[in-house]
Amino acid sequence: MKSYSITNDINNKLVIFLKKRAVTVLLLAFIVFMVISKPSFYSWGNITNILTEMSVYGIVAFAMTVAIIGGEFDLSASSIFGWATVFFISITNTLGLIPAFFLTLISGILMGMVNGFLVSKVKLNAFVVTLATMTIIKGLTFFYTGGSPINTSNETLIAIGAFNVAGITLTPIIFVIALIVFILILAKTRFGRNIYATGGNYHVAKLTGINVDYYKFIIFVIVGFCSALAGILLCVRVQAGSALYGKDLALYAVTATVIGGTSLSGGNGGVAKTVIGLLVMSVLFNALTLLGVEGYFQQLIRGIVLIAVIIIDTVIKKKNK
Amino acid sequence: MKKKWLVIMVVALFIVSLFVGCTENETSSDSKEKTENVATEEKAEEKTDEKADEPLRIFMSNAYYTAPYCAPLNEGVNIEAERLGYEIQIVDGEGSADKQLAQFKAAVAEGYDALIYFPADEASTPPVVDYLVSTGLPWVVLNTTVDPAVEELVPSTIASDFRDIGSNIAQMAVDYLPDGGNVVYIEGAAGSSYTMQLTESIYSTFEENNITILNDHQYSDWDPGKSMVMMEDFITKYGAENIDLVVCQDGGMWQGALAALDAAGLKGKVLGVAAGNDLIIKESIIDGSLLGTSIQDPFVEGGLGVSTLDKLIKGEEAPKWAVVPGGLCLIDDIEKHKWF
Amino acid sequence: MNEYVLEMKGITKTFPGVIALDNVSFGVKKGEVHALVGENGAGKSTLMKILNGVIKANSGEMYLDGTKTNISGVNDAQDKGLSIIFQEFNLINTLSVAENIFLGGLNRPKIVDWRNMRIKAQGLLKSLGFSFDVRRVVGELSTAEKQLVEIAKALSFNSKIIVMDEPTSSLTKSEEKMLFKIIKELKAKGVTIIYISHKLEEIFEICDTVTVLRDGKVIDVNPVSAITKDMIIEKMVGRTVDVEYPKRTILPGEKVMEVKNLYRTKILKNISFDLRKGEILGIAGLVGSGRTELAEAIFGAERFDKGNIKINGKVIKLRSTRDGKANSIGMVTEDRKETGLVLDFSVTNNITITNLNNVTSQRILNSRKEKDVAKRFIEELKIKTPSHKQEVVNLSGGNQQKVVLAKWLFSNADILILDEPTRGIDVGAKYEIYCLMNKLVAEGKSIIMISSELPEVLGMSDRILVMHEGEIKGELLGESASGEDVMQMIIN
Repeated sequence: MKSYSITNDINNKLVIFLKKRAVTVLLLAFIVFMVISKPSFYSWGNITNILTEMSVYGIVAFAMTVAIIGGEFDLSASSIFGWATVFFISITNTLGLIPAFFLTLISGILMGMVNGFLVSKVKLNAFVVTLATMTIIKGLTFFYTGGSPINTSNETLIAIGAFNVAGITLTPIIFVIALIVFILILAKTRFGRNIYATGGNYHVAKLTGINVDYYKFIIFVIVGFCSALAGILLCVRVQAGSALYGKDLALYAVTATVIGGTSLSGGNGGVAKTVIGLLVMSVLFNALTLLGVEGYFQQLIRGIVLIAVIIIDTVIKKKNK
Repeated sequence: MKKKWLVIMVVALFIVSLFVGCTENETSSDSKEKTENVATEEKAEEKTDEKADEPLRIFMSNAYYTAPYCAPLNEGVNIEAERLGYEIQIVDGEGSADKQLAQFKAAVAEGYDALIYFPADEASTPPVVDYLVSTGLPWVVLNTTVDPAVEELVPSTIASDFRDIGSNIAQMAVDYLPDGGNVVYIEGAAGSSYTMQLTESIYSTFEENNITILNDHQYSDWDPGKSMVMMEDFITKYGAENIDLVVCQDGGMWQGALAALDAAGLKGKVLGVAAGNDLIIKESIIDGSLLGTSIQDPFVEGGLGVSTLDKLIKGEEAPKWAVVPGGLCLIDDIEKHKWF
Repeated sequence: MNEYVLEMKGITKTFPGVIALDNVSFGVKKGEVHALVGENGAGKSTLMKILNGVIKANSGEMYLDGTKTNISGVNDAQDKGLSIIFQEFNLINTLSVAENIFLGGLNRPKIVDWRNMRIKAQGLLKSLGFSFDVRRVVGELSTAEKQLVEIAKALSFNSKIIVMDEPTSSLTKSEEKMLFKIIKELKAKGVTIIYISHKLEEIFEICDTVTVLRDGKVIDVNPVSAITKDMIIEKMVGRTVDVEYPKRTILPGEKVMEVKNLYRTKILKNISFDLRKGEILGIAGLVGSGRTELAEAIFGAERFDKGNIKINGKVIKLRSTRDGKANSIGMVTEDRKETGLVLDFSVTNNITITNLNNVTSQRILNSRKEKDVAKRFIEELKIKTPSHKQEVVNLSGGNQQKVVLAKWLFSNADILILDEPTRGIDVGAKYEIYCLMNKLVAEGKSIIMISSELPEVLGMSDRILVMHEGEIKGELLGESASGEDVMQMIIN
């Protein structure tokens, strides 16, 4: 056993790499397949299209990743997002764009604070709390608009929506900035490390003198903030708001996080991994349309692929141990 | 070690073959009906292939792809497209203008020749409409009208007149309750154009005719189960004797309401009005529990969408608004309509 | 016929890069208590897992009652009369005692006869000399009670051979006595027991034969009567260990901590003591005597109702562990896996977690600084790890414990509370921990040590507080006290 040959060693390293990055490898393989079979997939327009499509929900997926790392979960992201679209458009129409921007972010933060307070201080289960606030916020949004979607003809907003550099609009730019900020916070600050510790083992973190309640609290504020920000970005894209927007957002964000490889048990993972998860979902969404797959069949295939990806990842990780 | 890789390879192959399988499926035959009658259809296709090397391809994004109403609608689109010799792909827009925009961009990149847009709601349509205009391709809007601000830009809209459906329903109620009365009203989904426009005309007609709606806005989200629970609550809250009529926005809601009425022994005693061409509506009209319906034939609507687009593709004149034929259907007219 | 009830011949097991067992032959006679000793990593657990069918050997044969057998898994092992009680219990915390005892058998009848099951469970516990409500949920039980449930579970399978892995590691003296009585009774009934333990005293008390494993090889098999403790240790570690408890020369200095009338309803009764600079203060007592609760109160992890704590003459506020840490107190908890370490974290991250401000530059974590800190402690505490990036989950118990110590040293704690610091750690690593404790007090730190192992408390402490039922029953000098003195205080 001690006399491993050198080639064996390299092989081993390669195998370990492939195992650790199984999802990435599958994704790359699929992209190669697409590039070969559909030239349109490889066009600049289509690439920016994929990036833009994943950016709005992607920002929330980052926040959800932080929440999951910290051992929590936030279902209300969907409703905060819907609320933000409606509130942002409505304030834009009355007070103007800049107050709308700040007020919407503040409202998202406040909603996150309510979730955070109930989970960290009142010690309620996050699943139940956010399920309840999800319904409450949705109700509030309907109440606010009387149920109807609203839109705006604010010219500045339309101009911002149309602004692009070589097809890249504002949304993917903010997505990338958010990615970098989250990577830095998680990997390079005390704050980030303590979130990992809190999610990794709550008792250890507490007995180590970490203010675990604060971190549990702040997690929800982050999700609230990012959901509101994503809501604003959607408004930039479609210039309309409705309580119905983003209803699949929370689950989408969790799915992207898990496919990326962040474990639901908390304490490990990262937003860079979530980018892979987002890419899997967006590339698949785009590819199925390019390949001419009908709607019902698309849903079937997407479901199968997601399960297959997770099975492969889990099987490999288990065997690795 | 070998085993692991075998497993991975098999699964990967499986996934890839799925994709390859469906692409081939899509390019060789363009709809399910075709595979059913292979022998006759293949000949027909060969003929069209001779005429033009490649059939033109239409792409449609349906924001409510999985709603019950859309099953016959999608079928109508498929069958009409096939009849006219087009290849068609319909995808699920998942209720989001953002996603639909991404889908249209992908479709344009893939080189589709014409587009059908089934919007999620009016408010979010402007950016999609702007994009569709910018593609230069022929396109139409199906089912739901767009925001008034961009109405001018739409080459052609194929839709029912929702307000018309609303006033049809309201008129049946007024005829039934000439001296006014109390009704309960079950709506579709908050924010949907269909729901809001129906509600608008129903409310105004009722107001003029002294009919009171007992409940506040109640949304079934197109779910018969939810609407059943609502009806049960209404019976408990207002008492069967105080409800003169049940007003529903479509067949699914009526199905739920009917189940609740039946369970309370009120079927045929408390009557209803609804819209749509569902089989349950036909049965209810026949057995007398439903006064009538406002026709909205999704199959016809889908077909009309494609035939209107066909006109645009061929450069012919197309109506700015192709109204899907509607109108009242009472028991005498039952056999004149198609039911699903 | 063969005199062995169980014989394993030429067992070899390799894991990638490691030879866990190297041609091991191991035989156990019917009705004996056979001790299996060795340092952590010597291969005991692997051998037992092979015996249990959890993992497969690369080569070798196994004989039960002289016939060649293959064991395919845990259920098969149980059917063949083999039970293993692992150190980390195999119980389901959310189920009741009775359900846990009959868990393996639950699948067999389709319908569960709850009443019958409860009566049987009660009977099994009674045969062990205990009785408590079998409807209680296992999660609420103490460690000692859980152990009992495990033994009862093994008996429920009519096991002919029971393997006990560190059965006394969390038992108090009296519970230990009870266990030994049970073992003797089982032996009288003809049950064979394989006894794995780090506590050599126990082996001399109840075992007949001892097999020593080292580095995956059988070093020695001997009747207990023909061997001494020192000989066993020597064979285990492969070197002579002269002093079990290293001596230190320095004397305690001025008072650093004064605890006055600490009171918490039903748990702590007017606890007063003080701690001096450079002192090791031992706390002895039974499990459940309030030792851990006292430690938690001093650290700020649990509240107390009355009383006060002074550090360097000043009364401090302790609302949370953050206050404890701010007052230079650190606590090494009794369960390092549950409350001491973030198992997914690397050695580095586990150490620096207590004082991240110290490894940042402009509020950004500096991985270079972190690495330096980790390397310093790995060197100082002789932590055996492939690298500072290694996840602690894969380290041995002794090395994990050193990481926990390192993290509190990095927080600059002057007062260290060590709760069961050597539980489940092999002899060699224990000795290193003792040396480390001496080194720390020599540097001027103070240690409060809680331990269920009396010799350890007696051997290491300057003074010993004896606790019982939330009270301090008395104080002894470490140098002169004996185990009898401590027991006497507890009983009176």
